[in-house]
Amino acid sequence: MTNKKTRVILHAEDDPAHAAIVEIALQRILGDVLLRQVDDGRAALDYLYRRGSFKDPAVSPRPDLILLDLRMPDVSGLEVLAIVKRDPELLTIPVVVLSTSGNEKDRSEARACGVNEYLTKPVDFNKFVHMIGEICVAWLQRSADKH
Amino acid sequence: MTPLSLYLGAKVRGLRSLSMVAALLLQLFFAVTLMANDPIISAAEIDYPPFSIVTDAGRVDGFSVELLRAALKAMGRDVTFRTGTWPEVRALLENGEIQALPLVGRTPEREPLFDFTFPYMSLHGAIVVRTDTHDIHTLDDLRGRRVAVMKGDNAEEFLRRTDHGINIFTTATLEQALQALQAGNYDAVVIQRLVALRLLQETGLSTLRVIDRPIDGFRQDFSFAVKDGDRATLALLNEGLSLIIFDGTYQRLHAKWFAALQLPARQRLIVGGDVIFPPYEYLDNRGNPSGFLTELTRAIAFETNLDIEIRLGPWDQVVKQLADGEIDIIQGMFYSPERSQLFDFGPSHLITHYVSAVQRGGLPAPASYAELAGLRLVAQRGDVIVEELQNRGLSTQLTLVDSQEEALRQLLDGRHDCALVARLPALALFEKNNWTSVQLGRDSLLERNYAYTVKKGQQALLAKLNDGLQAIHTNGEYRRIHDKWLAHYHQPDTLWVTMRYSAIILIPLVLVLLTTFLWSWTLRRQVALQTRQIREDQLRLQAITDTAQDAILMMNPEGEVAFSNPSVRKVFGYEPEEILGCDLHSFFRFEDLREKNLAAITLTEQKAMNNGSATAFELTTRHKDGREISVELSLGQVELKEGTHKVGVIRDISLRKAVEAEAQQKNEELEQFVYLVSHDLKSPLITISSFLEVLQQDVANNNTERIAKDIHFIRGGIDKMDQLLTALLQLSRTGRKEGAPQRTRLQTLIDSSLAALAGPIRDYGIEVVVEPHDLQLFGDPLQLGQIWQNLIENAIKYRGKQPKPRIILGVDLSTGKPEFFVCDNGIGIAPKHADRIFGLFTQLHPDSDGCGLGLALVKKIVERYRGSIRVESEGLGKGSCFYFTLPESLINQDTTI
Repeated sequence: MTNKKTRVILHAEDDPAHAAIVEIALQRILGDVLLRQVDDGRAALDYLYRRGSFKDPAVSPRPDLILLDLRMPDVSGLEVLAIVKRDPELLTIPVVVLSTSGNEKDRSEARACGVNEYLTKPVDFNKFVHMIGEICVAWLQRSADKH
Repeated sequence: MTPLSLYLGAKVRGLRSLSMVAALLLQLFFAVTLMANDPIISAAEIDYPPFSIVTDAGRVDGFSVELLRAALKAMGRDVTFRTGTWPEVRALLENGEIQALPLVGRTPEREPLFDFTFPYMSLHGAIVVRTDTHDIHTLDDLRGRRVAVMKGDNAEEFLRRTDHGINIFTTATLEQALQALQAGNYDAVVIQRLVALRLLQETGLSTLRVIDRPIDGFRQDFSFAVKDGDRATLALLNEGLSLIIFDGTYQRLHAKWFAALQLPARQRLIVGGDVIFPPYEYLDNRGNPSGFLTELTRAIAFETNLDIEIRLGPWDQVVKQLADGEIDIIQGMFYSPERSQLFDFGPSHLITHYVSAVQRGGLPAPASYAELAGLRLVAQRGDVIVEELQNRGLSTQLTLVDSQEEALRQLLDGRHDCALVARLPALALFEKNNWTSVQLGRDSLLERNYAYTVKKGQQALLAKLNDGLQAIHTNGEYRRIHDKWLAHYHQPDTLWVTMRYSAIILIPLVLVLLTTFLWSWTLRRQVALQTRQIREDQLRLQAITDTAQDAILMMNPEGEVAFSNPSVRKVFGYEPEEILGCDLHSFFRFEDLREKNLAAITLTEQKAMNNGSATAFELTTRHKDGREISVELSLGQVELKEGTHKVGVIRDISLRKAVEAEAQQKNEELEQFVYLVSHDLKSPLITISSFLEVLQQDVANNNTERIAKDIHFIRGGIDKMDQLLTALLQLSRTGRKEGAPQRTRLQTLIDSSLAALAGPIRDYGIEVVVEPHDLQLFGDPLQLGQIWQNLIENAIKYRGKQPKPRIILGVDLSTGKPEFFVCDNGIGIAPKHADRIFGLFTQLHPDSDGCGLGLALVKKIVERYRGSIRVESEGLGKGSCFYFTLPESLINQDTTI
């Protein structure tokens, strides 16, 4: 495994508390990743397409993994997912949905849009750390192999 | 006689004549139906006299032959005979070449071969020997002797049945057997007694004699026989035989064939009779026998060529003379069981009634034996009534005299209370002696057949007399004699008779009339009853169809509406009369709705074709006013005279459909609600749980900065949960709890809402503009106030970074329908979210507080009041306007409270 380049993870989440939880969790597992957090789907798209405040590639490096909350005020995670997976430039980036509810409808819709992994957030923090750690390591590894 | 007994008498008589007519008709019927049938084929033995013989002229004859002929004739059938010896004719029947034999003795050996009619004659066997044989008397005497029988005859079967030690020889015919006996070839012949007598007479074999003692056990029943299993012919013969026995043919034939065999040797026959028994028999003025019977006897004697002498004497002496054999015949004697022990009675030639006789003006003539009790009675010695009186225990009261004349005379002298006399002779005596003070009872005490009587065993003589009687009946002589002597005594009753005959005719007539009347009355009653029943059924049915909320239509085989009930108006908007005769299909076959109903229509047609039983379908059709209505159509059918009528019951289910749709919507809402709750409640839970974990470590590491942050997040999560739960509670209350509706000025509602939000309005420096209005709203003021408060709160919350936030509220009356509004110049809403914002827990802006229930609550209240709500915004940053309406019934523009 090469460590030439720092891994980038883009995380979209409207609830600041949940954003903080993910940040802490990732810090514990993967010390050397660069976590970029946005609070809405629209911001996530702006990031990916380097629009607005994300114009500078230095500010918005291409992510190796995208983590998405589903329910966000303006543009939902599902919309972001659909756009990413339809874009030949972006579709190779693995997308993991972090959902609060285990709703089956959400899950199947996400699957239809081409989600790579769907994680229902557990209440137990340690369990969450463990799960998200495993998922991120696995998808970052695959993403690296493709490069 | 009472009218009832009169009527009954007539009725019985009527029945008798009716049965006679019926019997006649029946015979006629048989005659007609069977006449066409082929003749029965039978066969006759050539030498079995007098049963079956062939005459010199080649004609088959004999008692059995004639009997069979007569029996079949009575059944309307002819018969032809073949001839042969007994073995031959027997073989014919066994082979089925003929259908019946006239004379077959019924023996165990023959049972499996033939079926037999009931026996018409029983014969006894006899032994025939030469006159010079003296040591043969019984069957036992034949032991070791040579005895001849006819081959296959009952005699042969009888002898061979048990071993008597006899040497049995057989001959082809009986005649051969007898001739061989006379020639000395045999010692005896065993034969039917009657046949033997006849054969000996015919053949002139004078050196033979019949032993005058019957053979023990050799009694033979003779019947007609048919082939085993031929039930049809057997039934025919049995019935025919019954008929001819009944009608006297049998008797006549019997007399013809057997009488001559037994006639007494003496030529002149002495006929006895009562000397004073007018008008039957008596001595006339010159002392010569006279009367009905006397003349009858003479007529019979003339017909049958008998030489007779009539001697009349005192009755009891005459009877004694017959018993002693001094005379041969009594020309008139009443039959009684006691007398039949001593004498043989011929067929009855007259029926006579015994009645009581009393002195006129005295006690009434007794009408029964019971009424005779205690009376002094008198009757003629030896008369048949005497036996009857003795049998009934009346002999102690009874005095016997020599004649009926004497009995009546003594009655007139007052020596007795009542005389018992034969009716006709008594009447004749009244006339002869000019007695007028004797009265005869009308009711017959004894009814007896008056018949020729001979000494026991003189059957042949009786048969001869019978033949003669038959002959004078046939040639009308009997009628003439009867009218001459007896008709006279029936005269006095003309009035009575007229009345009786009238009654015979009238009573049935009246009965028929009565029956007819009764019948027609019953019929009319029945009709009335049934009519009422039908009418009531109709009313019942009408009540049901009138009451039904569903439209009920009936379609005739042509597809036209033949019946419609009042609910047709309710469901379709048509008057019931309006659609009579219309094509029922037109109610359901709107082309533009075809697509919607395709499945139901196809299903209907299939089911209707398959079984026609009631089936129900949901269809979309059209009201008279053109709007679509959902109906449920139940189809049935009934078979009437004109063909199959279809019945349709149509229920308007539009309301149900609407409720179903609403329920569906509510279900979806609930589903969404559960989802949202599970999501939004879980979210702060995750926050709290996670940061407690983090907090633990931060405390351990003594990272004060982080500790504060952790606690901040935890508190945030708890606050969020609290808000959510409070809002949920409020939401649930909105559905359930409602204060009493009352009129409230709109201004009041808005003012109190603004007052509740005065803090934030002041804090954020928001300008509030209330446009003038003077309306009143009717409803729960708290809920109506909530609408305004939540909308204003929403406007405050989403004011954005607007330097001069402003809220305008009021009511727009320009369209005629009041529309309430709350507008702001805040962050606005992207058009795509315009519907979403009224959903539960929908927060379009992540950095706003609140939990996304406010607008959902507003929507819920507005819709509860059956109003509507919408939002308009030109987009993000351009402010937004919420408009809602309420039903006009809740809005009052009058300000004068």
